[in-house]
Amino acid sequence: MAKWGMVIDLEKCTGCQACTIACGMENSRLPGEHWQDVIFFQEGEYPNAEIKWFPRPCMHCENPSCVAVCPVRATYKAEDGQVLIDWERCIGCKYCMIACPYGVRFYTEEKATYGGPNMKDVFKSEDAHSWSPPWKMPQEDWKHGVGVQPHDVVSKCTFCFHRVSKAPKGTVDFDPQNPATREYTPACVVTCSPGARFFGDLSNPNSEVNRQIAYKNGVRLLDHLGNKPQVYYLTGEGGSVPATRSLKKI
Amino acid sequence: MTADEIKQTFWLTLANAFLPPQRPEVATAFRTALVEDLDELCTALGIAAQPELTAFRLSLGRIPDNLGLLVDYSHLFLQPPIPAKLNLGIYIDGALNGPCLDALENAYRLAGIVKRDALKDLPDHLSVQLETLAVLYGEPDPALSPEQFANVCLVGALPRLTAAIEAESTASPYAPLARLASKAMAELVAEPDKKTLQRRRHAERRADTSLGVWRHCKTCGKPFAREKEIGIMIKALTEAGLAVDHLDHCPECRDAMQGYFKRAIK
Repeated sequence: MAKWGMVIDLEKCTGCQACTIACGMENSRLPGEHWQDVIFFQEGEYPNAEIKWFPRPCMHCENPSCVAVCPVRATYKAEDGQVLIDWERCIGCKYCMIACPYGVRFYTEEKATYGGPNMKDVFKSEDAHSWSPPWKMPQEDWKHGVGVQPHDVVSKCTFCFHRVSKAPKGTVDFDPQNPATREYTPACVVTCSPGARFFGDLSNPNSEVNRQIAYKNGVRLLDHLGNKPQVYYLTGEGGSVPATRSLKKI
Repeated sequence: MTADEIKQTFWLTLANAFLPPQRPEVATAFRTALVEDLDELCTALGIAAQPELTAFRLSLGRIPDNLGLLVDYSHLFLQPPIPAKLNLGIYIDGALNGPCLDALENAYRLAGIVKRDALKDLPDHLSVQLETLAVLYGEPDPALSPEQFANVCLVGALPRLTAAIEAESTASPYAPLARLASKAMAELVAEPDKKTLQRRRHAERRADTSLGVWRHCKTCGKPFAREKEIGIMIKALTEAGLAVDHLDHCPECRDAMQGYFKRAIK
C-alpha cells in the first residue's frame, strides 16, 4: 500500500495557473469551480510589499476533518491515502465543506463564481449528471468522485484517482518526464511547465517526494490544526511559509 | 346541529346550487329559497357574507324565470367555448385530465367514495367535490380530513373559477355564489389541519436563522449552519483530535481572513 502525496516547490511555481486549467479539463470541471486553485496573498508592507501565491489542491489529509464529520461516510480515506467522495452516498449536507479548514470542496448546485453564464443552464443535462459539458473526459467513477458529478453532491480533487490507480504496482515516483509513468501522473503535475510539482509515495523513504521534503524543509499548510496534510510546500530561503499563516493570527 | 353538521349542510347546499337547474323545483328553490338558507347557514358559521348575499339577491332579481336561470347557467358553464369551467382541475393543471385528477381520485379512494354510474362527469367537477367535502364533515373519523381534501383542489381553484365567472358576467347570480364559496372555503376549510400545522411549524423552524439557532459568521455576520449541526461537527472533530476554531467563520470568509485572495481566470 502506498501513501500518495504531493510536493509543490513555491520557489519554482510561477503562478501561471496552468495546473488549474489542466485539472479543469482532466476532471470536466465547471468554469470557476477549481479543484486545483492558485491562491494569492500579499507579503510585507509598503514599500516592500510583494504579491505571492501558492497552488492549493485538496490536502488529502492523514486525519481529515471532512471524513470525521461526514454523517453518511460518503467521504472516505482510500487505501492509498487519497481522500475521496462516493457520489452515490453523498447527500449534499455540506458538513465537510464547513469542517474542512482548507476550503477545497465544492457543492454542485452553487452558482458560477467566475462571472460568466451558468454552464449548468447552457449545457443542461438530461440524465443524472448535473450538467453536460460539450467536451469531457471519458472516465466516470462515482464511487471515487471521478467524472461529471451528479446533482446535490460535494466534489473535490481526487489526486487524479483515475490515472494514479492504474499505475503499475510498486510505482514510487510519478515523473511526468518518464514515459513509463507519465500517463498515470496527476494532470496538474504533468502540465506544470516549471516542474514545481512532484507526486509519489510518502511512505517510501527513498521516494523523490520525501527527498524534496527532506532537502528543502517541506512544510504543510495550517499544520497546527492536526490534519496532517499529504501536500507539502517547499519554500526555500526567504520564501513565504503558508504553514505559519494560521487563522488565529489574523 | 353541531358545527360539523352545519358545515356539512352548507357545502351540500352549495354543491346542489352548482348543478344544472334543469328540474323546475330545483330552479325555483334556487331563485326563492337558496338565499335565505345561505344567509342562515353563514350566520351560524360566522361567515361575513352580507355583500355576497346582497349581490346574489340583486342578480336573482334580473332572472325573469326558471328558463332564464337555465340559459344563464348554460351560457357560463356548458356552451362552448365554455367561459367558466366547473371542472376545477383545469385551474390547477391548466388542462383537463391532469395530475390534479389523479390526486382527487386518490383522495376519493382514501375517503371511501365511489362515483355512481349516473354521474357523467369527471371527478373534479365542483359539485362532486363540494358534496364529498360535505360527506367528510359528516364522518366521525375520516381517513382523509375535510381540510386535506379541500387542499387538493378546491382551495386553489375556487378563486380562479370566481375570476372566470366575473370576467364573463358580473350580473350572473353564479358570480356572487362563487365568491361566497371561495370566501367560505378560505375561512372554514383553509384552517390548517394538524399535519399542515406541523409542516408549517417545521418550515418555520428551518427558516429561523436567528443567532443561537444558526451560527453566524464572526467575519461577515451571515448565518451559515445550524448550531445543532455545528455541535455535531465539533463533537466529531474533537473526538478525532482536530481543531474546531475555524467553525466560527463561514467557509467563504476563511480565505480572506488569512489574507488570501483569488484571481479569476478569464
